[in-house]
Amino acid sequence: MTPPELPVTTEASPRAGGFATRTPEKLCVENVSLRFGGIRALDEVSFTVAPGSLHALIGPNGAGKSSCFNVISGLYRADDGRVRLGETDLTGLAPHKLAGLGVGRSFQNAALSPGSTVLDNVMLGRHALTRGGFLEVGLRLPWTVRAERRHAERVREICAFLGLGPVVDAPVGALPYGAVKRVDLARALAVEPVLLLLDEPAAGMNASETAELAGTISEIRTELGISILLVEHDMGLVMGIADRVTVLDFGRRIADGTPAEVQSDPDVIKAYLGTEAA
Amino acid sequence: MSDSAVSEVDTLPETAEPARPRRDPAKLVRTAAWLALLVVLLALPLYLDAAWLKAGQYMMIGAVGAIGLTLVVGQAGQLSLAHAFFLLAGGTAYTVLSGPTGDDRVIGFGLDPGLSLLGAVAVAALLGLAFAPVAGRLRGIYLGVASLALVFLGLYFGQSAEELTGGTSTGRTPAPFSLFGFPFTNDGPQLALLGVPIRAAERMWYLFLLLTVIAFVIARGAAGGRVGRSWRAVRDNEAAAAVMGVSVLRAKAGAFAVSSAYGGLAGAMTVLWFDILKPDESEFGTYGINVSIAFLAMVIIGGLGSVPGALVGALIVNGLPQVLALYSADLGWFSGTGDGALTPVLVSSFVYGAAIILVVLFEPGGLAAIGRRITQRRFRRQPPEEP
Amino acid sequence: MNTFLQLVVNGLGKGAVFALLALGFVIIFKATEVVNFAHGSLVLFGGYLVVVTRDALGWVGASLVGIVSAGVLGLLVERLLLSRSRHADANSLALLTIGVDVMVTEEIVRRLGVTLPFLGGAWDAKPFQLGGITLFRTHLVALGVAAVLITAFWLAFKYSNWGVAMRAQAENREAAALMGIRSSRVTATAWLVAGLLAGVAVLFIATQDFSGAGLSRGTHSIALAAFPAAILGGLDSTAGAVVGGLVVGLVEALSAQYVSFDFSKSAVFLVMLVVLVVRPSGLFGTRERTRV
Repeated sequence: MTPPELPVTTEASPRAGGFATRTPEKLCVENVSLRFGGIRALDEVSFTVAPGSLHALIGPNGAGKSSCFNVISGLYRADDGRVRLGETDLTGLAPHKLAGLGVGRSFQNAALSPGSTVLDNVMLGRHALTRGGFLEVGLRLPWTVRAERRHAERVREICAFLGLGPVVDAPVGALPYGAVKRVDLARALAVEPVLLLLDEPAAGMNASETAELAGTISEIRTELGISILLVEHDMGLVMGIADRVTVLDFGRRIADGTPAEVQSDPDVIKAYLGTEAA
Repeated sequence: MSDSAVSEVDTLPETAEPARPRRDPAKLVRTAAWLALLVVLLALPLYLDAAWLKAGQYMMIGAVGAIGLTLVVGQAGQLSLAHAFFLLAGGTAYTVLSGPTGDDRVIGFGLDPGLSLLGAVAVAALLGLAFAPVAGRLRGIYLGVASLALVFLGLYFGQSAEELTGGTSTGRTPAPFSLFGFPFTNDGPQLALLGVPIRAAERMWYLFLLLTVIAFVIARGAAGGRVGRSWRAVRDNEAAAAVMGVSVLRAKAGAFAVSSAYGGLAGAMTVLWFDILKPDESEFGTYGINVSIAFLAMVIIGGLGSVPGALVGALIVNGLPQVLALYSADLGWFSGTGDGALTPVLVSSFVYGAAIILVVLFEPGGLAAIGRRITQRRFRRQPPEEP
Repeated sequence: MNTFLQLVVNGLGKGAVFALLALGFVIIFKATEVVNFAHGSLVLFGGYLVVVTRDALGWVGASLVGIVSAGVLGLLVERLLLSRSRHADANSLALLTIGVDVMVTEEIVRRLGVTLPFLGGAWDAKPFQLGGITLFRTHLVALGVAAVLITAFWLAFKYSNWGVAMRAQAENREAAALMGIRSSRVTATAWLVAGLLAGVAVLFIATQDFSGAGLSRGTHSIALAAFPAAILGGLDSTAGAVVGGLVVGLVEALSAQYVSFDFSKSAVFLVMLVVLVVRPSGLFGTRERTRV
């Protein structure tokens, strides 16, 4: 059975310049440092995510991967260094500006509203693509109603692509863990990102679920042509689909290259001593 | 790949619905029920006498206030104990804006009552916005206690700004409401509907009903759409909300402004209902902490975040003392005076105090959650959190 | 200058009482993360038991009964209501305490009716002069008692099994449970202690010196000052509670004199607001860090 396709959106969004016309740009992390009190969570970390590529950020626990993500997302403020998406400087931007720039993100702990439906949760991702304050939405002005319907259609498409079609109106709290992670992914996609940040998407999944996820992520990359930055522990997932891998340890970058290069890097093997490096 | 996707979905409870229910029976029934209720409410003045209409109006004041509070506390997750302050602000603003200009004792601007009502709502909203930066920095219970500060400030303001409020001993009378010259008192054109004269009590009933319906519909619409979604996201996980494009500070500020606007409207309705604006002498009065708590009780009992729940909560908390007072004459209850006497207000306080305890103990989702479970059993689906 | 000194001394005396209330409040919060909106009713309940047993037992006996009863009420609220709420989180439990507060307060006020009994000891209403300033004995006794109790509590908190258990539970509930700490015992004791402290506090509040008013709804309002005191100090800091209480007492005394009596209540909350704006978790509270 062939999986449902994820149609690239061609309709213009309410704002001038629909997202379909956006081309992904490279993400440059330049000498980013982050300190928590005396601890250096990130120490002059630099790497580049080429546009349209699948880039993985790996490292042992506590290496600073999530901190790096949070800096890129604007949730943490770096003490030093810059983050650039193409020409735009992301450093120091308020986190809520990023969705509007096409940066979508999924979370380690899914961070969803369990009492709301899948549709409702994923629709949150459309927030930056819509307008309307309390009175406009409350009075159900025709344009807000129309926009809501249109975005809901798109969200249903995204959910169907991720196999969430049948449960789109079910409360998230009632779903099994794997489905919950997919809702989180759907929400990140709903932002219509040019850069997708995935924070341990395979956490808690078994082998077959992980393999399936790998396929989904690859497919997202090929069909949408967007850049994906992936933080992961699971080596199988990473080495199988990533174009490039950056390895962190104790907040420092210790390797950066193709999966094959990184796998045979002695520093990487040392950092993972005791764990199988392949 | 999709095989395992499908199988995962198969393990879900069988109540999962197909992707797009075109004709949702539950929704049609619900809309029909609301319309039926509206018809009944429109017809009630033809059958009830003025005392009962007055009681109903008081419940509607509660409804308007409770709707605003449930939006900020239940949807946006911001605990506010300041509601009484916004009632005072709205009531004062209405009275000042519509008050006569030539009075020596108090200030008035002589504006049209309809405009004054809008002005009262606007003033309250602005005050809510002014507090929002403070609210944005505070979390959870710290915010709740900080909002108490507003009630005390309001108390002090009421006592000292006598040219505006009339002072605690005398107070001042608000201008009677009129819309485009049509007075909502016993004066003006003598109307009758099906043989029943439509005088002050009936006219005020319809006015309050109109305000309540508008308040309800707008709140419901907003909660179900983009705005409510952003509030719930802020409530459940601020970081995730921010990353999805929601400006957390703006969302919180907006929720506060909306809730204060509703509070201000309820306040204007309050002074019209009492036919006087009289600030309290202590923090326990018409605009005191007890009132903030009463509104919070309405919201808890109804279910945090549920707009219809807020209506039912208001019915109970504001309705009970009124109904008891009306029946007490017939039943001979509450005839005792002096020490230890039970009064309608006292009994109602017991009831809603107990109701809060029961709700938290057994069904933290309040009456809304109970209602959802009943409809679920009838329509065999798992309905999500109702906005 | 004399007026100022007098205000400071008496303000500190009142502050000592607020410190006791705030301390109890913080103990509950540290053990359970629940904000106890029913603290005022613990105060009223203890006071009411004093009134009821005074004729039979005399002041000392009645006061002991009052203190113990307040503790018992706290214990009962925790055992019968809070621990039974399986699915409620800390915020919902805080709302539950609102319900308790409404019920207990209304019932006691109803029983008191129009009587406003004073609860002070023999030292009440006998001010004396010392170096040009008027001192109120109640405040001095309060300072002494509070000093003793707070020291005793601090010692227990630092060195006793219960204190260690409580600190462990406040730090990390799950780990503490895994280490064998009976969370129910810690919680119940916390509520008991908070109630006892409230029972002590009421003996000083419902006096001529402190409030000029006997036990009444006004007592509940006065006890409300425990909230800004605890918040100002930081909800999870016992030291903060003591500091907060003293600050509240001082602010109230000074503002009542230099601005107006009506303003003093607002002044306390205003000061709290100012502190919160600068330090959103209170002076000594720990800042929350959300993990993403």
